[in-house]
Amino acid sequence: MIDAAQDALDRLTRVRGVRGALLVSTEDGLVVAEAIMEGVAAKPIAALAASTLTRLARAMPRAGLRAPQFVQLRAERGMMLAAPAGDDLLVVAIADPTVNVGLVRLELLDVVAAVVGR
Amino acid sequence: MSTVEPWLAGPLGRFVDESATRITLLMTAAGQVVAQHGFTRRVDVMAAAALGAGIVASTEAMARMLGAGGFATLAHQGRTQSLVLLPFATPRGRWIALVVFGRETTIGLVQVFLERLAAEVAADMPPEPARAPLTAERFEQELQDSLRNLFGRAS
Amino acid sequence: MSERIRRLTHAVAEEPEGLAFLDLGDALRREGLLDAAWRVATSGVKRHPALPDAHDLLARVQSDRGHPDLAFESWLNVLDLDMHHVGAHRGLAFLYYQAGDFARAADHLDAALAHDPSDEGAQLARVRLRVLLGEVTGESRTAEHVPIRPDAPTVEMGAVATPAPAATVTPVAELAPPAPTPPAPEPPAAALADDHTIEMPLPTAGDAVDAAELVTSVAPLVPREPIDAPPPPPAPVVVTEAAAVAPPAAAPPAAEASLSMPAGDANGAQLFGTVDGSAEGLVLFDANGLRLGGTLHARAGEDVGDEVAALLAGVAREAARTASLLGLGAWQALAAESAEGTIFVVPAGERATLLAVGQPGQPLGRVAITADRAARHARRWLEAGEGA
Repeated sequence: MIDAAQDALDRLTRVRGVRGALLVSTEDGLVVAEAIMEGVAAKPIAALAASTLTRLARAMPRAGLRAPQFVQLRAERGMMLAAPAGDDLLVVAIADPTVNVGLVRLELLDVVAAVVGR
Repeated sequence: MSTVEPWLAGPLGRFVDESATRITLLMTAAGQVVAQHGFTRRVDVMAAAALGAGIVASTEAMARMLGAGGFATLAHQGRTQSLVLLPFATPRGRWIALVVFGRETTIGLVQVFLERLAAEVAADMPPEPARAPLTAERFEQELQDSLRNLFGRAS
Repeated sequence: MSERIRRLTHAVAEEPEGLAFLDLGDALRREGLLDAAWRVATSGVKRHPALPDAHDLLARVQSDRGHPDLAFESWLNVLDLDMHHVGAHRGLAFLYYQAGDFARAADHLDAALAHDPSDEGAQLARVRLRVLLGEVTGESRTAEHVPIRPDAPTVEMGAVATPAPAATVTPVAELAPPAPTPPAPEPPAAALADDHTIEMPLPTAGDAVDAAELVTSVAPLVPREPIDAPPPPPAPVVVTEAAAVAPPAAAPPAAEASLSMPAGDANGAQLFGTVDGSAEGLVLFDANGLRLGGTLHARAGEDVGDEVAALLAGVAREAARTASLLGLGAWQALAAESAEGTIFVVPAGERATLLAVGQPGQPLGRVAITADRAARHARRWLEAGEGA
């Protein structure tokens, strides 16, 4: 599973504008696998992405929705995109502000599929 | 939160705020306490410092035996609380951070902010004032003075 | 002064940093020496700010002194330190019960029983709440008008000073924005007795409830899931015999000044710039998780705006922190898709955040536009209030 996920992560980073992609343990916020560029720190991305997604997953049912399948955090100088892969893993990408979000989303979901074995 | 040296309050305060940990203890490699947050009794601080320093020392001995070169972080995961120990280098020698946290945070977040704390402490540390030679009697007195400072000053 | 207090005073003097102050403070409180108890409790909290029991002692003293708002804050502090603290849950249950919010009182009793199922006082109180809430007769649980029967006898479950006088409780108002409450007879300050027993009238024969069933059918345990940052519970509506007072703050004191609200009603058109004037699916909230405007209803029809605001305030803080710490700059939006719809969370100025909930099938881009537009309007609306 990890090899397939690693290949999928590598493909994800080839999308123009993606600076790094990680597979993260949701409960611990630790890196499971990574494909990142120089200068990108994997550990903080993993920890903060897991924390944000966990909070969101708790809030959304209160709003009448199920847990998120895809999340995008947009900021001035970039964005973080994430998708849960099963109950305990998370796929995360860090990208430039001008990245093709739709394409990144598709590649993220490909990684999810590789992880959950579909 | 209490610190023996005032300059530690800033980095420790930021760490506690960001990481949402329950207990934090900073000590020298010899087990001398320099700052704490979350402890309520002097005896608990002393015990934790001694045990934490001992765990780090014995783990390092094991690492040498294995040829591993040392472990960066030691983590002990419990059912409702977990413990992390991080030895780190400072201009005054090695210090150890001991952190206890619950399910309101994650080990990933704790590690990220603990590494930041270690870097800030090492960067902000003022030079150590000259000290008189340490005798057994003075060691006990200095230890008691440190603990009195930690608990006598209410945060 | 009793011998016990004398002995405890000596113990505290010998070791000021020790925990003997907990017993001393409680002993002083039980003997009615509330000023002395308050001094011991505040000193203890100052020395041991991370000790849940210190804050719990202070809360009990504040409650006995007739300051339920301060007691409420102290018990919230306890739960921040130890979310399973049984004493805090019992104390909050008592305050909510006093305010007539039986649903929230029941929640806290459930939390207390989850960690101490042997607590007979809480069990009995919870059973009585089930009757008051109509749970035993199968009615849905609401926070609507549930009068305390004036002719029902009050049963002392523990050592209680005096029974609380019965009173009719007005419906608990929604808390955003808070409304002043009418004055009503005040239960005696000593109603929170030695071990926080909760006085509630027994159901009368007219309730057609089997007593044995009441005693044995304790409410199911509802374990609290771990939370990253506890959402602040809405403040109870506190009724005192003095002039009506504003409800206590729901969240710990905010570091920033509270937002001033523009005068007059704010409908969807005014607040969010919606064409049809509706504010449904749009919720504006401040940094403390308090709803400022808009509505959100769950499928069953209940308004969940306050709860969602409280939870999403934590999400917004985490989004801001994440963007900042990862070097991405200021956060601009957080979008989340699920099978049943999407949510869009955007900052609305420096001190408020907006949530937009999209329906299933609605493109994320459209929800984003709605959210951005609504946030711009909301920001102008808030600024209009601050400038007034």
